[in-house]
Amino acid sequence: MKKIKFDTLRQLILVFILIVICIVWAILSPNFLTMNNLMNVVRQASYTAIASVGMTMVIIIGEIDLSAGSLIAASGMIAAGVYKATSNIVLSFGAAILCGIGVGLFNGVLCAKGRLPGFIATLASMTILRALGYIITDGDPISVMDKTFIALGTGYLWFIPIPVILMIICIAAGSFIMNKTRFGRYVYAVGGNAETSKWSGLNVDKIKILVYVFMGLLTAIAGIIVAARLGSGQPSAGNGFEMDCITAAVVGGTSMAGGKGKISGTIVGVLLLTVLVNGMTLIDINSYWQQVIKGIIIVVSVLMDTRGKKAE
Amino acid sequence: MSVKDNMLLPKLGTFKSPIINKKDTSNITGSYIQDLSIALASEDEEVKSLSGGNQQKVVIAKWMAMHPRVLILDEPTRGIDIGTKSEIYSIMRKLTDAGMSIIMISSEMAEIQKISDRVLVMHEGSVTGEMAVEEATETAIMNAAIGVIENHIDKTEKK
Repeated sequence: MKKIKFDTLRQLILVFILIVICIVWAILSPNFLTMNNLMNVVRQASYTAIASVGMTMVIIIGEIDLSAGSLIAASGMIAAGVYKATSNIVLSFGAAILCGIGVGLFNGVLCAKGRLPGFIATLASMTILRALGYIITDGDPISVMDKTFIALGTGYLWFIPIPVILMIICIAAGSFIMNKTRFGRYVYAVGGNAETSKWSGLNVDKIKILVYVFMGLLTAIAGIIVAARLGSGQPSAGNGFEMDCITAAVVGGTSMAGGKGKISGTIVGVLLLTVLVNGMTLIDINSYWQQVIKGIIIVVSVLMDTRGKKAE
Repeated sequence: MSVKDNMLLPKLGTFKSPIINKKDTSNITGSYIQDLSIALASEDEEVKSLSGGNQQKVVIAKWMAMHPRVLILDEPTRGIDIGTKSEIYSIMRKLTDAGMSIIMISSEMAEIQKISDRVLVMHEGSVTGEMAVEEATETAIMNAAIGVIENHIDKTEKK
């Protein structure tokens, strides 16, 4: 009989816990299992999930991206602002995505070529981007109530919310890249040991930059969805968002040391956290206690990983 | 990383498609694992769980897969047991018989004398001795290693 690897076991435990939580919520609140609420949950999870795909890759390569939250705000504001000025949906979304790619490029180049730790590089971009947002809009949101614009955040394709469709596409793309392409192998290699990867002929700088750019792209998509959903680009959007992504990745089994992790795990992590918050809100738990519980889950996940490693 | 991923890392860049073909890559790694007699449970095993000698074989396989004309091995058998050492020597012999050139850097006199065709000795950045393996006695090597230059070395001959 094949020995069950710790990683597979961990994934199964995670899914099991998710199911248990769903059952608990279903018992404690009659509203949980309604189609409306479940769609809400998945829609709520969608933009976190999209950016978490990118964050997983960034953490696997041994870095981190603290600028995600600020980029949510920035890309949302750019989408809203450009749409307000041009009424052109393609232009506004295109501009926002370009912004995301630009920020990703900034982060990647600063980290790889500037030799700054990703933590520092993205700490800088996080601060600057957030501040610029407030400066440019004077602290006011840019509101766009146009139906075409908010369709992305509130619309449906058949019965599936559009953000969920985007989420599925991004998950599929990210998983494909990590599992089926040589670039995915490179990301795992650099994360496992950047020095050795260099000696094996890999262009470590280029790979890091591309990962950050992809993260920026995904975060911008998430930012557009948030703005579309709210009907406005807000300078305060996405506050603490990067922490949600990192939490999801860690809970999902991505190692902060790099070189290890799966997007599928992160997605389960996102769902777990979203379902948790959704249920706690339904049964009226104070939102600060929700944070406490989130924190406990992080500790438990990492402890599980450390002990699992020791057992191996 | 797994043995398979590790072994293929440089090779992946040479494939035309960015998408990994599982069958082709498995064939490649499988054949090297067999040819070099790498002892492992499966090619998906982590390299760090292999013995030192087998890890070294993975590294050698990694670069053999690139079909170089010249292979440079820096202390290839350091810290490896005698049995695996001789396995690596025979691998090296097979490679040179097939036409590959190998530059091996080593500090083990016995090893040098055993498998070299030609020996170059260096001292403080310069080549101080070049001899066929038959002439590479311990004295000759040691003399060159400490800086004594033999008459027949032409220092102006630089390639």
